Amino acid sequence: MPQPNDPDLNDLMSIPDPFAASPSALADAKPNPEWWPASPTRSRMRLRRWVGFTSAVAMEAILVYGMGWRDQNPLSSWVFVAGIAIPFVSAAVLVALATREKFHLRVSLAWVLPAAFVAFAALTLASHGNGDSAFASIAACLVATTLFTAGPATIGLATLRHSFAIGASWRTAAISMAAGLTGVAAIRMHCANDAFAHVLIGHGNALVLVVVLMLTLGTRITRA
Amino acid sequence: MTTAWLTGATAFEPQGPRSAQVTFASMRISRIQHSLAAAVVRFEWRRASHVVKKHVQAFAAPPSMSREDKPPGALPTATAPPKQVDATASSLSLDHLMNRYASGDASAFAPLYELLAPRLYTFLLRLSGRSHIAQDLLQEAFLRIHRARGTFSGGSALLPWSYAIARHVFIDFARHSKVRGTPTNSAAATTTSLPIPDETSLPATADTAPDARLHAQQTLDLVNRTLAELPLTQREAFVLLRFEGLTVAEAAQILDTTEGNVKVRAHRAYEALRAALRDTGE
Repeated sequence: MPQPNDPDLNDLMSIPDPFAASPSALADAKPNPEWWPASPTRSRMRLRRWVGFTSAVAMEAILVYGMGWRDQNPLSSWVFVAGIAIPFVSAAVLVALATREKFHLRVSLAWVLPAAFVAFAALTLASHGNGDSAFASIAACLVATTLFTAGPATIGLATLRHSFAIGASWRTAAISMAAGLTGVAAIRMHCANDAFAHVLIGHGNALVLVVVLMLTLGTRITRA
Repeated sequence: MTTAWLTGATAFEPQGPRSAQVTFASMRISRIQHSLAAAVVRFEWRRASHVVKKHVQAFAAPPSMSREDKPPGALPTATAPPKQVDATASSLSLDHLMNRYASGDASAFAPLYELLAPRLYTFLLRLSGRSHIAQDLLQEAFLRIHRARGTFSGGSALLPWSYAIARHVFIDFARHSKVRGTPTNSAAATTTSLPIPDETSLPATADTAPDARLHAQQTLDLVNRTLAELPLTQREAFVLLRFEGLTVAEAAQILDTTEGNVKVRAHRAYEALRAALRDTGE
């Protein structure tokens, strides 16, 4: 008889099992996997993840190229490089964490996410602050950042569909956060408006939006 | 006794379990020395450390519990693993089979199904309350395991992973049933009484007379009905800990929550069941 490994739960054993002697005719119902649709093996899944991540980054590069590189108000070199590198590296770390099976995801996310956010906020505050905080520009950038974010998020969903048996919502949140950070980094290469309110609301809100959307809709797709 | 102590001649003679342990330990030590010497002579330092580790583990391992150590009055479980050692061995074998299947070895599916299906079936049966629903859900669960096999990483445990998939299958089924308006494991769905328990399924202390069997059946029916009326969060925590024999950590992993939360849910379920049994004088 199984015993819980916790003394608090010893009382549970006093409840009898209604299905202890349940008949099982499972041998007759054994499914044949050859009739099922082909499923990716472990090596194929690993390849699929790499292809997904690379294509998400490539998609962002193409979008930035298509929408145009920022030509006004160039940032100082270290702010510019860090403002792009930190979100990209954070995104890569988040994807790596989310797709690892043996990792205490919740603990790592509790450290990684605030760290990424603080880094992003610090860089935003450290920027030149030139530009306007008009509602129209904020709204336009919110739409553009959402577009930048939608690509990696969609690729992430397609790549990682039916992948997470345990901790699906946390992992999906990590993937969506990675997609959001990639979008934020990409919009920084396109948008030359560095006003604090513009960057925080226009660029940052897309990140929140994608996380909320992915948590409500995406979890059902990524869940195994 | 006194002379033996004074002369010391018979101090190491086998006189009971204690001296047997000493002899056994000395035999082990000599075996370790042999293995170490052989390994060192061949300059296989890695093997030498492996030998030390293996024997240290063998010394540290507690003796396995015999069947006679089972507490009196313990309730039987036909489907759950009877011994911790067996469960561990079975679990290791399951992990190995799943690793093979995840790597693309289709021949691993049949033994994997034979080992895993009974556990998932009883889990789904306890959640759904009906055998034909549990069988359908089991098919769906295995389809999903097949679909997600590439995401099962090597070195991780299969049981929490597969239980989590089975749980998702049941949650999806419950959602669809709610939309369609068909009962899942409501009290109405479980009014069909359970099969009359035979001697093997009765508590060890119970009488096997017909009235005792009827009484036992009524108790099991009541437990099943009360379990069906519990919120799903409490029911699944209780089922995983009490009937499936998982640890609190494993249950927390499957239910995607904290260990404390699992304990609270299971305890609330226990209190509800206890109250129901008390009301009927159990």
